[in-house]
Amino acid sequence: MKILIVEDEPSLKEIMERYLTQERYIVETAETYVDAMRKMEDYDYSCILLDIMLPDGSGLSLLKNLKALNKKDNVIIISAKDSVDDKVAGLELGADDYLTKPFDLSELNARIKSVIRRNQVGGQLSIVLGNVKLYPDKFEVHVNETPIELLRKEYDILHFFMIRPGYLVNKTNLAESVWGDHIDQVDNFDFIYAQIKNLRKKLKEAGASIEIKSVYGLGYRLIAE
Amino acid sequence: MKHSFLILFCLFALNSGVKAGNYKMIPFEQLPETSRKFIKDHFPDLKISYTAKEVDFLELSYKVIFADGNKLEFSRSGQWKEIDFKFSAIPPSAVPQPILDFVAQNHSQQNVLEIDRERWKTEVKLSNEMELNFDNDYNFIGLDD
Amino acid sequence: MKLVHRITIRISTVLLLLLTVWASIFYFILMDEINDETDDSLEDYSEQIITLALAGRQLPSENNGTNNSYFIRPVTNEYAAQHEGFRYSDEMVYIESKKETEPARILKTIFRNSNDQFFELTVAIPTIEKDDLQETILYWIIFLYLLLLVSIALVNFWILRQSFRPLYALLSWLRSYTIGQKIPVLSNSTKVEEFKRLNEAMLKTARRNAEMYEQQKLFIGHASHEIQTPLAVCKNRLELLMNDPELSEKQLKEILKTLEDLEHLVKLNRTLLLLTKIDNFQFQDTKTININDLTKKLLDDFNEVFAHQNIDVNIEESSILQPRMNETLSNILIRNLLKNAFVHNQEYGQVSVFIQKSELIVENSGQTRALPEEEIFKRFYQGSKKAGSTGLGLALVNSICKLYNIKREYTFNNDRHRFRLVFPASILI
Repeated sequence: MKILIVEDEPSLKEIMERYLTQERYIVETAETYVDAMRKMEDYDYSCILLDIMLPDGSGLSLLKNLKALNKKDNVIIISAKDSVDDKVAGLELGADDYLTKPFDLSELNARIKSVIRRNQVGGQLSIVLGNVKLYPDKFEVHVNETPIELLRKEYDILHFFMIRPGYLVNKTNLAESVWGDHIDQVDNFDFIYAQIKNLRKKLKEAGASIEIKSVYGLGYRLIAE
Repeated sequence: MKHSFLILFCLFALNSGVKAGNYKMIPFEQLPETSRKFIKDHFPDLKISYTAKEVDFLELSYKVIFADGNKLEFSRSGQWKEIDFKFSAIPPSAVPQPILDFVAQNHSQQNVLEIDRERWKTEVKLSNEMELNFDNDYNFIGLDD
Repeated sequence: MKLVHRITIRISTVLLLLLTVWASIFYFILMDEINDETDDSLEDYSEQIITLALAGRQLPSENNGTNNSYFIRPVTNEYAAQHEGFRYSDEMVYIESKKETEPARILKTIFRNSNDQFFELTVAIPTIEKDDLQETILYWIIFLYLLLLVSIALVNFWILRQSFRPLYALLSWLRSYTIGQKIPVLSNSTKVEEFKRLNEAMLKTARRNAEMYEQQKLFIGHASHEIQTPLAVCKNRLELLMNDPELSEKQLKEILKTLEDLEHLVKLNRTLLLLTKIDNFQFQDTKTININDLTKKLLDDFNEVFAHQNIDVNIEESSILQPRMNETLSNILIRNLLKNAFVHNQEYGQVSVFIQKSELIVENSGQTRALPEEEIFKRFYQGSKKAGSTGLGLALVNSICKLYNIKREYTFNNDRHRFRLVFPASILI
């Protein structure tokens, strides 16, 4: 799958490129409006990551041109502007999703997968890993096509791991993502351990082919067999 | 505070110093030259009872009392201020000529008893108790009320 | 002390001294003048009698109703030569008409007649009236002195107060102005050049301050905004690096620690940005918030997270508290208030929440001394340094309270820290 990153900030562009390459995408980049326009005209991409603020033009007008060319590429708008107006304008112009800087790379990956899958004919909105399927829209998890019962926090933890397969996850990040901001001054993460223990048990009982492994002293990692 | 009392004291001392010798008898010789000449010219025969000096706040005047009870008053410069001869009559030589003329013309039977030179006018008293007012150039102004 | 009072007191003090001196001098000069007049009339009297005597006329009768008396006696030439021509003295004299001895002023004058015979005339004027006069004058001077003093002080006070009116207007204007808010209109017309200049200077300063404040606010906002992406990139780089299989465990731990510090920085920055947004009224949309439900939901989370502390949590609801607020802000407000109660607690401590119709009270155990009320709501106040704490939690509470005019209070009673929020009727449903 080919992805075009339109981003003028070199460091951000570089890290996105590296990460997505590592995730086995074919990645091309453009730093300017003109550059991006030429590439969009010449090639088709599975997904275009579009920064709104470019040195020589607006990402929104790029989007307009793209739609005028009658191209079917998926577009995720990336903006530093936390403004509702930009978001609405982008989505109205036919963008598939909207991501505000700063964002997590795993989050970006999950969004890319989501928009690509959404546009595949008959494609279900789900995250699949081994024999485990997670439906973000319905808050459901299936193992071998059989739904399993998870508590809210257990579901949140699994979702967090499913979009970061194979990556080392530290407890602080996990806790903050699941429990929200209030854990920032906590030095005891026993509450995470308790939840993960239950989640592991449920996955094992259902015969899941994935496992959350502890990495001593550092955190956890989701491994697919 | 101390200072203000000092000033107060000085003022007071100065004031009483001036007052101490308010009236003082002086020998005839201490009268101003002009006064002595006036007396010698017009009253050569009169005996003097006493001569006094009067010091008022800023003013200085002299008085001469004759042994017949009549008297003269002089200013600081020695010019006469008042001639009071109510017990007889002022010798005509001592009376300024315009007044003498005026009296001779209008009150021929009368003698001049007193002449008083004030700031703005000169008062003349006649033997019939009449009082005439003149200006400082001895022009007749009117009668006293 | 007010300026008007100070000036009035100073002027009055100086006047008190000056007028005292002035009144004393005036009294003494007046007395002296009275004595002088007495002596003058003695002299006149003496001269009158002497001229009458010299002219051989009838001398005035002794009983002429004036209580004045005189006496002429012949003296020798030697006596005349030895004594002053005029001699003043104060003596007691017997007054024939009153048959009494009374104080009198005496003048003795030596004169001679046309036969060169010397005489001494003694004239006396009783001084009783003079003493009465002096006493009366003294009383009047004292009375006038006091009257003058009081009236000058009053007039002074009144004039000063009138003159300083523009100054007081300016002061009350200054008091009404809070930085960060719109500069109120300064209507302080005056013809006085100094006050005019002061008005202009104050206005100029206020405008410059407002401008600087605005710039500073903008700067913090922009800075936090610009810092966001580089921070996120840093974080992502470290996360990618952590998956390098060649890293040793020691290196991994080091990266993890760096990541945690970075996380702290991200949070700090995010909170600063949030504060700026609150202060810039960027949370406009409101809805009815059920504080009871929100509090209970958040308490559940905190209970779970702080389970290891074994904190005893209880909530007492006497009514439903339902203000109209921005949803995000209400969440931030309650969460930070509760978080504060948990974070600064101790093992086996307590957290109590009381919800009333217009009040939310959060009480917690913790360190056993009161905190400075005005300090704790300021940015970056941290009583005791806690790892990972931003020191901005209560500053957020403060900003949100200010935005909605919620009254916030902190008290310390019975070893309990008590935070009380009183919601204004205007936002209550």
